[in-house]
Amino acid sequence: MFKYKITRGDILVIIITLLLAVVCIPLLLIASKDTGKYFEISYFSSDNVHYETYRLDVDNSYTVSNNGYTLTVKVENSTVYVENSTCEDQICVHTNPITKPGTSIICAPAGIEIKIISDNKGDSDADGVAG
Amino acid sequence: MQMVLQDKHNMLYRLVLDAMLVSVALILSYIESFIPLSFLYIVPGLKLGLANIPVVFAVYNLSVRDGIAVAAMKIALTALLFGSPVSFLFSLMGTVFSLTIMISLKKFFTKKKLTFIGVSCICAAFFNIGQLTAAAFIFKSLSPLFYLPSLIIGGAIFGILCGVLLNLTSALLQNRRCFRQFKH
Repeated sequence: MFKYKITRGDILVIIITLLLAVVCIPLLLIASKDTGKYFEISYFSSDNVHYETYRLDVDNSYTVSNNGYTLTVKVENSTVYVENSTCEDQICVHTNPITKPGTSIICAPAGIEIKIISDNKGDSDADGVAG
Repeated sequence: MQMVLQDKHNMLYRLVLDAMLVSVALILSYIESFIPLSFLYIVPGLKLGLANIPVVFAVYNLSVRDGIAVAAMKIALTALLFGSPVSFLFSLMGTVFSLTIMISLKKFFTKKKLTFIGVSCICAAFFNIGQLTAAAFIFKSLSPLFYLPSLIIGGAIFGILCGVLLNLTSALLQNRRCFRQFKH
């Protein structure tokens, strides 16, 4: 009844896809081994990206909003996670807490990225605006 | 005159088929939002990709033009109904990446060297690459790319599942009269 069966080409393409993943493994090195001291929240709007930097070593809870969505970002034991969000997909809420510089949490509907940065980056002053 | 009428009839036929596929894509994307994949903490944002089934179906069983039309309508309507400007940009970039690979693999498919399993697998991987590239560009940071290896593997697994579904549906539908007319 079903005409199509898996072909040798399919297996080749699947292997190529897996090789692609292997090639991308060095990207995991984006996350450094040490613990970050600060985290940066980027807000995307139609004309620019706006950054805010906060301390990671102080437990706190922040309420941030962008594009009409509100996120509660929680800092606990040097890890950051999104406690709750008003967005539909809740991907940000279900992302693992982050702690290493280079790792991030993204909320696409709100246009918000939360990213850990290492202390030696030098842009630790709050409310820095980039064009 | 007969020719003109025939062309118009074909255009209308195509329009109806494409519109039907777009609505199937929207329904699947709605159903997909109910399937919880949140337990997969290491691959945030991974989706089953069911909504891309009609796009692959249109590119391979109708024509590349129909496929692009279905994909464009799907991302525009999904963004209007359930999304935001940023999620629109994410899915636009993902769709551009996956359509490029989908169209370039079509000749291997018509020569029966590939089935939907391979096509869907690599398309899902490219969709995720496109999405994360968009995220990296939008937020001007490399951090989103950290999730690339896990999303490629996750996408490939669900892509294979969608490919199996496509093989089954395509085998059932391709001999129907309405699809037989638009083989190229």
